[in-house]
Amino acid sequence: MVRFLLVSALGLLPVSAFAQGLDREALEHFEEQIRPILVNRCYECHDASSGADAANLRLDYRGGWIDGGDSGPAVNIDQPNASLLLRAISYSDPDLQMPPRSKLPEREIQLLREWVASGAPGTEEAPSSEVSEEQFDVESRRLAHWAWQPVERPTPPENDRDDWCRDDVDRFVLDTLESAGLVPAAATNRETWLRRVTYDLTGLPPTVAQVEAFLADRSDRAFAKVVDRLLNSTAYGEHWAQHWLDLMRFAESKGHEQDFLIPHAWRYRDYVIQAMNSNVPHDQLLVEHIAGDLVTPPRIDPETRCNQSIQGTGWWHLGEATHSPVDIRGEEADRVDNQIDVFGKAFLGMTVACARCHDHKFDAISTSDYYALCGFIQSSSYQEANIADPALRAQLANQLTKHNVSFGRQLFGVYATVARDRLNKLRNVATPEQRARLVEGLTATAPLGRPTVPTVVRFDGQQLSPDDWITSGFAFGNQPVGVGTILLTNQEDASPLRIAEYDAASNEAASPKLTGMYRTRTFEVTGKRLWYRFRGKAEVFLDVDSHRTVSGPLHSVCEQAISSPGGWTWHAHSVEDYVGHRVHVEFKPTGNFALAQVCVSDSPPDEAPIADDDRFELSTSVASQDAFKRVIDTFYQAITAVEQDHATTSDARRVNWLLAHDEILPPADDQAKAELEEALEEHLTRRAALESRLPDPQYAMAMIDGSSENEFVHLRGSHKRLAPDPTPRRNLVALGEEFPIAHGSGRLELAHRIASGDNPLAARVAVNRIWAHLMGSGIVSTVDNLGVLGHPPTHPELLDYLASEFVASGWDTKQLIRRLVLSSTYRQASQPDRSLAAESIENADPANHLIHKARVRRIPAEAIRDALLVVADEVDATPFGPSVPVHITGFMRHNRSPEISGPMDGARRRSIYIQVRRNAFNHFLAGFDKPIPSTTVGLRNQSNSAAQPLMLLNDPLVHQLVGKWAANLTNQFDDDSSAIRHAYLGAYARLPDSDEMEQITSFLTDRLKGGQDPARLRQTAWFDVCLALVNSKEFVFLP
Amino acid sequence: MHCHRFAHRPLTRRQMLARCACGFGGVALAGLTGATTPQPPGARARAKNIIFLYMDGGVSQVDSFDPKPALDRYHGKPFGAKIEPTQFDAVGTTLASPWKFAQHGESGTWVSELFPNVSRSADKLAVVRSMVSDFSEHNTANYFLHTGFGQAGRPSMGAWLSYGLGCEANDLPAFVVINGGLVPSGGIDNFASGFLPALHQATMFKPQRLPVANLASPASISPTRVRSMRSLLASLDAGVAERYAHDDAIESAIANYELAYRMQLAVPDVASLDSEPEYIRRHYGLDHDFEPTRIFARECLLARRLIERGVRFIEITCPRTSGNDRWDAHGGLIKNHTENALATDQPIAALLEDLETRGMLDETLVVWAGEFGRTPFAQGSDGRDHNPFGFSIWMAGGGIRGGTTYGRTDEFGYRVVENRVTIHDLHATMLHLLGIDHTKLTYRFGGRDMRLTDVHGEVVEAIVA
Repeated sequence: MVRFLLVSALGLLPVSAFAQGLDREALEHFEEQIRPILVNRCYECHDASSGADAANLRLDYRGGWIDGGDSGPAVNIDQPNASLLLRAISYSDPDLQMPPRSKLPEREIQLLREWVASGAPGTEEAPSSEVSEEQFDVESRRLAHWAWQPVERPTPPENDRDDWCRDDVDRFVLDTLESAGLVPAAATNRETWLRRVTYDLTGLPPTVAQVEAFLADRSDRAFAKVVDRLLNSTAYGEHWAQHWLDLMRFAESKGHEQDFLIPHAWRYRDYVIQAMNSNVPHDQLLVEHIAGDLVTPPRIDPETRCNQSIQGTGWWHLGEATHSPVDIRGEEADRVDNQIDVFGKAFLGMTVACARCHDHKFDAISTSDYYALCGFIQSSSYQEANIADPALRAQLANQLTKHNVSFGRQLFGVYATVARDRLNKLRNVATPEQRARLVEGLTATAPLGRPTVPTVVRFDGQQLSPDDWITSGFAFGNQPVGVGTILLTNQEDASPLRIAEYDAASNEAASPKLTGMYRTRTFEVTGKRLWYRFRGKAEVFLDVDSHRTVSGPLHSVCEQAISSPGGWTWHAHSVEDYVGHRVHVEFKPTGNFALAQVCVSDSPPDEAPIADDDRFELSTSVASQDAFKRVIDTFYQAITAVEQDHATTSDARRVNWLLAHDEILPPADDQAKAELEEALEEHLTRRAALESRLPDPQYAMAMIDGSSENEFVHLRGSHKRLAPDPTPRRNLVALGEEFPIAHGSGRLELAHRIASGDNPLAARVAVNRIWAHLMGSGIVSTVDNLGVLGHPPTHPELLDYLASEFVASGWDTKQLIRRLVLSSTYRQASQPDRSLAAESIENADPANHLIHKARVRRIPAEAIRDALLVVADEVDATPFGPSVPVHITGFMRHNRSPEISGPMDGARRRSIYIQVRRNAFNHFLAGFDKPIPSTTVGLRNQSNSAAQPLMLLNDPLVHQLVGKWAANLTNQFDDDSSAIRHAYLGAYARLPDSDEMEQITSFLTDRLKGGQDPARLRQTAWFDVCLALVNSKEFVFLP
Repeated sequence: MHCHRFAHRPLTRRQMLARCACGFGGVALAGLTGATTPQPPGARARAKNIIFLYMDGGVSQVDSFDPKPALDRYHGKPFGAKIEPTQFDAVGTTLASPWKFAQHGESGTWVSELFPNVSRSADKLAVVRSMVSDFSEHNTANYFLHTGFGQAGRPSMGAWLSYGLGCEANDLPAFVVINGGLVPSGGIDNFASGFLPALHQATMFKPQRLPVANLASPASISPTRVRSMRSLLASLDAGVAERYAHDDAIESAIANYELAYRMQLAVPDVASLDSEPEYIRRHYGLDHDFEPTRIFARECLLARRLIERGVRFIEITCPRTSGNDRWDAHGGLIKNHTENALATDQPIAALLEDLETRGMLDETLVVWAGEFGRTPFAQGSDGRDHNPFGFSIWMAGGGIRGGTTYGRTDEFGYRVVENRVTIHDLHATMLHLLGIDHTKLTYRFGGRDMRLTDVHGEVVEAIVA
């Protein structure tokens, strides 16, 4: 800083001299003509108080416009017409128009133009600033707020109520209650506890049989047995996965104009359910979410053998997306903002994305923290990953490659011996035609020189840095296929033998049956076209500013299919619209495929044959026997070079030429031919056998690591105004900042730091959310924000106790849930202890923050629909698989509705399996506060709207299920009182009290009077009873 | 992009809910029943309600309210100013307006011949010719227009008003969207409550006999049966309330059913347009030859009836016109704008005049706007592409200085050069007219006090009476 000041002071010297020499006239002109314009038009923002909001540009003294602000000098003395100030006031650049509201009158623009041209004279002294610039200090912010402090395990407080304290958790709660002069509520009855815990753990009501079994089980372990049964049920995963999906703004379409589906999104949903059910340690879950594609070895599903870890990264791609952005870089900035918002809230409980435009107003998070995280995303990209049995595929890829190498050598050996022999025969007896054709072949395969036009090479199989080798799947192996490699192909109408002519990314060394993708590093487009030197077939995708969703009118050029099965060629990909943008290119083979080079150039990167290759005196060779012998020798040597593994591109092309023009040589003898064919047959059979063992591809959305990219700070959040230097990738400074990144994005390194017991946030956030789901409110009630604007913890020691226990248990989610639901705190009734006076509650804990009783809670939207299915005995409990298309009611249908409407009853599947379409949200679930999937929602709203009663009273689905329920009850029971008892057990997990029994019985009696058709009367009466039971508030509330 | 004021929030929502006599659901219900919600301090309210006439797809400013003779001079010639990237990247030559403009009323407000009926009310309109949006695509521009943010997930204007002012009716929701058949690009997220409770999301009305979903029991269930079931439900609920010690959440949910019952009565009544006198029906165009005009007429008339009953915010969406994609005239500008204008002009004019006659225009703010305008140069040969750099909207009614024309675009009508008005400014002005300081209407979500106007917005005083 000191040095900087010195330099700029020196820099000012000549200016000061200039100022001193300036005649008074110029200064007077400034004060009389120019200053008033600046005062009227600019000083509202750009005066001594100018801060980051005004780009730190001051226009109240000469140094202000000469030194400039965040975007550089406002006035360019050397080239006045290039001055930013003039550009801004001319309104010629739509992104830089000042003053922002209206263009200045022409007269004022002209005055300023002349003034700038005259050297922009003005007062040299800076008027003193009233505002003292407060420096953003992460460390003092970090020290000042509880959430950044290390988690330390407190000792559970002692008390004399061992009888009440089933778990140490209870000691913390009791301690706080007692200090407030309160006592916990009595334990709730067994029925209420069973219903509460069953909904909390599985999102379903207990069945009648489960209620009866629990009430009959008087053993000490009755409660624990229930909890273990619930934790081990698939329904547990289905319910807790939904909590997690809310955090990940899970949806299966991208919203916006077309609402395109997000391919394979349901697999991510299944991944989460399975992770919950198999109780994947929470730290591992976090690592898999941030960098599951980089975890080695990945977690493998024991049944399907699928790669589980990589699927965690699917959440990055669950955001909304527009399909044809005009401002593609701006779209990227918004998309990344959403990813960081979710990352920050879900994993850290911090509003990191608030630091996109400026340092966080309250928390220890700087703008450079935000852009440091952006770099991780920009060093990564989307991939459609084949998750099928990675170990088996690796093993087969390896075997296929080995097989090809050994058979290739063997086959080529056979070929070479015969071919050399046949070439030798030609030396003396070649016909003029044979000579001419061989010379032709030699000319066609002459070495090539450098491209004749300027090109920038972005991939070259020959000169590879680690950032250039980015592949997914096993198709491309671990490295480029080297020039001279003997390839065995079973393409029809081509020689089965072929020699690789370039070092290339290719699927031909192993097998084109293997899936995979090659992508280039990320680079800036610097010319009008990209050129790909390739052979074979592939789909090409140009990823511009990481934009994926492509469907006209713009950007359809990004997607191309390229095909050149016959030989090497250059393909031109027009990128004129993207000059200056950062891109990478993906190649996904659709058959045999090899890619040797990617370069940027306006015109074709044609290479001229090396002209001075005069060894053969080609023009005269036909005449000269000596020269012709050298032609033969050249082919002869090319064969040997391949055989001895030191072939050049020219050698390979010559051998390939010979293979393709076999008829020129004298015929081979039959035995050699047969030997070759037999060997080939064997090779093909054995290869086919290996290929047949490849598992069918199963695709999931995932991340793939790209080249190392750092993002520039966007000044005031504008992607059109970048800081001069990029911000290196690192963790938040308050979480320990830098770490070495060896290669690629560094996401895995980041993941290990986020999912660490040393991170004060990750465990606290996790245990607090679990607490909130079970108790109805978090210890920190703002579960997605543990920052300064969040609420302070009601039980700070308890929070740290839970966090440290959680980490010590190996981040064992089920164990924590088990402890909490078996605690006395959880078992409280929702009415306060009778000994407590209403007044003392009102004074000490009016909002029940201290948990002097259980909270009355509404069950979530999904549970309401699922409960209707369960009571009607209609639920299809099949887990997993593609989603059931959302039902489009007549009322919902509009011009943008999906064409296909799913079944009204959602195929009777649990709600989590109903497709989540952003533009066609399930009306029932939305009505009960299922959150719109835009960003992390850790705790849902619980609102009342008129749509809710209208749905429960009149929705056709409710009527269908109520009808089934009523029919089941009347079929099963002849006497109404048994039916009533059964209905209560099913809906509320308890028996009716005598009042309720009386009310329903008299209702039925009344309705059954004097009808013609008693069976039908009973049916409709019972329909109405069941409709009343699902509308009565106990159906959706937990006491 | 984000952030704004954070300080000075007297009560957090949770604190407020905790202290409020009826607790959580109570506040939500208060919104519906017209009981007091925390009313943000602001200016004197000039209007009580808003009708937002949403011109889906974007109306061309140079063919409607912003005449540009220069386009006639340069017609067919290459466009004379720097062109920004467009949605379809198919830039044609300068395209003159096929419609004539004339000055109307005492104010001499310029209106093109597309709107012969609305032009009668020229002296009621404040035309803003200097609107800009941040986005060139429908979806982002729609989210921006409706919610002040270019992505889904934020509350719609109507949801903010429902949250801020509640509803004057105790039997109708505060925020209603009358759906003429077209839902904006971006879908119903444009009408969502975002992070506000679901209560504040739009209730969708269709211009039909039973305009609201699940309003009535199936016909197979007799009214007597419905009554007896409800009475059983009421007595069961009384027992539940007892059992739950009259917990706030339970009491509020029970009260919520009462509201639903009232809505079941009120909605068919308000939707019964047959009860309107014939001259009114004809005035709006319910008998028009052109079906889209009839649909839009029903929407406008229904809006007036909802306003009369105290609904706070009504958005009216456009009907489908055959062969056109909304106002989105990428090709065939003449057919597109002629038919869309035909569908909307008479009903809008009737709405303004009817409100005026009833003395309701003073307390109703009518806003006519699309998500952006259109390019003054052609897309292809006979269309216009999206233009967020300068376009026209108008407002009329409560608190509006009628007969005003505000702001200016360049000689082609492409970019704003004077008195730029942003979407945030539009929102700030709308809230201002309803007596709300847009910087004070906040809701804490994800660690921030969120606002409709984000950190931006200035009231456009020049169009306020």
